[in-house]
Amino acid sequence: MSATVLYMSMSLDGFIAGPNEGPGNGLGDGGHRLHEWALTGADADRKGVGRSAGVNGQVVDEFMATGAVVAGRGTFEPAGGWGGDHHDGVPIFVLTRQKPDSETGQWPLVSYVSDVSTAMTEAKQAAGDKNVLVHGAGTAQLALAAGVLDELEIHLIPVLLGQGRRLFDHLGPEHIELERTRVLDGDGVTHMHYRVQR
Amino acid sequence: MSAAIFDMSMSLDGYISAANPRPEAPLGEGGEALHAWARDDDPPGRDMLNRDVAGTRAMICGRTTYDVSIPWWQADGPTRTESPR
Repeated sequence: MSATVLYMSMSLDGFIAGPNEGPGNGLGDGGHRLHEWALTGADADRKGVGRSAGVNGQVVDEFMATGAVVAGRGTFEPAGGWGGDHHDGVPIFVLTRQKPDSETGQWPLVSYVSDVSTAMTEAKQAAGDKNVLVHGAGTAQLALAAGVLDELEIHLIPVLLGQGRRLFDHLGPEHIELERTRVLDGDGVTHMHYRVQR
Repeated sequence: MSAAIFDMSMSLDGYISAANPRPEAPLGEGGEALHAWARDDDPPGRDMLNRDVAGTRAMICGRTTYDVSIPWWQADGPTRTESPR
């Protein structure tokens, strides 16, 4: 049975991007710090993710073995749509309320979906027995609220960013219980895996 | 040289108490869940807590934290000489 799994790098104070996100500054000011663990080179702006050694490489391999991608437009566009192919030609479902422009609308692997539950259902169907890679804070919040996120893999970075975009904003007062299913001690990062209890 | 160590229970989304704290529920609605790891019925958590307390000779906390802690730790706090209940 495949699962929808959120993969996000987060600072200890809960941020997944620095302040002043925008075109050419997709991770916000200083936000590259959160992704150093996944990059083989020091350049956080390079496209794609390199193969790190050990535990970090294992986690990268896991999310690069997923069978579909669900991401919000706020993740998809700063990433240049990953050139239309995130990895291995798996289908990409972009959560958005707006119509795409003509260029990105023509990528054959990319579908635009306005509803998070529909996006997750279609991505699971497309992924077959593989898991679905979920990216983005807005998408995570919508998916948690709708009860369609199965698991979280949080790459916890030992830094306090102080400001930026929070992963767990706008969730409302209901507690969402998580079962911790794995903790991996990587170089410069702790990978924590949770299953959402429903 | 000794160190000052900040020690808190926190939810994954960064909260240290739940909503609507009040005298009869000082940790808020359901906030006790953040401290379940340190209860008597969780031996690994209890052992960790006892090790942390054993390595501590002084505490600094805010008045709110102190007042809320009295039902658990009594007035002299976790570092008093007798063992916690």
